[in-house]
Amino acid sequence: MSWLIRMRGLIAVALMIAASLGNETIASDLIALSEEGWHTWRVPSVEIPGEERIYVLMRSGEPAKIEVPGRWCNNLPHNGEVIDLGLVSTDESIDWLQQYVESRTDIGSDALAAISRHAGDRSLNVLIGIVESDADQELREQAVFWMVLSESDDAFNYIDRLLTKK
Amino acid sequence: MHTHLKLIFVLLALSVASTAVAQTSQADQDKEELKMAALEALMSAPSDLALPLVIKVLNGNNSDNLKESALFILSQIDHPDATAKLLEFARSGDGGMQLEAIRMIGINGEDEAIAGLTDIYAAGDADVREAVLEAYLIADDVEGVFNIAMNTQSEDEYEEAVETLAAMGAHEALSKLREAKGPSDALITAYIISDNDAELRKIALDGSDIELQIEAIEALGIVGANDADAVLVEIYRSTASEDIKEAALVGLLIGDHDDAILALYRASNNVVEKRDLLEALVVMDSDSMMEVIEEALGDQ
Repeated sequence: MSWLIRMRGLIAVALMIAASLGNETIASDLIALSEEGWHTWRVPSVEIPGEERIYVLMRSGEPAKIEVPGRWCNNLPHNGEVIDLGLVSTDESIDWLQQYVESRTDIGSDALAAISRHAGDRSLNVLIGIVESDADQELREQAVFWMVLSESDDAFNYIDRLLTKK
Repeated sequence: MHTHLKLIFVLLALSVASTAVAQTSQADQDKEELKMAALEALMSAPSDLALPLVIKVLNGNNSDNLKESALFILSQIDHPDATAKLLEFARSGDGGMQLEAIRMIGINGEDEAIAGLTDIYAAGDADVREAVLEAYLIADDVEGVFNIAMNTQSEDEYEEAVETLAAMGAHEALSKLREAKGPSDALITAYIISDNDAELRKIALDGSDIELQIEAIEALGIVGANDADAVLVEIYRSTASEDIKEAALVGLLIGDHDDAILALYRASNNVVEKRDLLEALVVMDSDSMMEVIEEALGDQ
């Protein structure tokens, strides 16, 4: 019985530590992104070390805007209007964004741009997959474009091979 | 029957082959467009990352179209190595690539690259020289074109340089050229293109070369400066030369100055001259014609 009390104590301490780190969650449930209005979450950035913040405006259960602050972002919401989902895992974030690339909606290009800002192999592999096997030539070209703008070494190595292969 | 089967087989084979060729061609085109997209994106990438890739495209076995785009990207990369590479292609590139590289130097506009055009012009053939002039035009480098005009011994090259200066609206340089080299057909054309009536007046009043003077007088009518009619009337009245008089009348006619012609008509007592002036008014389909006719009827 004493081990159970000790375990409860440890869990309580762990919860307190988690609470002291703020209201961030890891691998939060993005499927709950069905509320109207702006949402945001953070992911590890392709620019290491760093984080990238992704903003999504939901309208009628679908994203109306996907924005990543930086050179290509113009319409960011004001702080008070945003539901902050905290830190989200790269896989979950990419999974969520990728469904809109595959859906061929107008938002697909913005989703692709956002994917390109994620750290790790996964985002580059998604882009490479599109470049090498997608039937939509325009989407393939967009994938190449965002790959270059990600400025990652691996992306540049791939572009190098693409440009030099016959 | 055997022949028919053979024919069907050949047709089928041809059909499959043409489909395969079409697919290959589409695949090649898609690949080319992907490369183009990558190149275009490199414009937004840091120069130290973009430059090696652009140079690889230029040195590789790629299409002219892709290489020309690579040259443009190269011209947009702010890096000394990019300028050096551009100059290298402008000096020794193959045919079309060399000409494109020269033009891209104009777009690049870097002082070092522009300075390199002098030697390229001197060593180049007619196409290279034309491309250099174009590069100066793009870079709006009046001095470069002026130096070519001043130093060339070739009449054709002089004309091309003067034309380029006219397109650049380089009034001062064109005035300096007249002072240094004297008036010429090329300069008169340049003054017309650049709307420079002040220089045209100088030649129109300069009697040292009557042919050029006539050209300049007529050109005053083309340029259509505000007081061109007064200048042309003054030239008409003050000259004893029939050719100069005729040129002034042509200038007034081209400039649609029927009031000035009517004034000359009324002031004239010479029947032959009056007839010429009247003819000009007829050619212009001028309303002044009616005034002349009414005056003539009133006199009777």
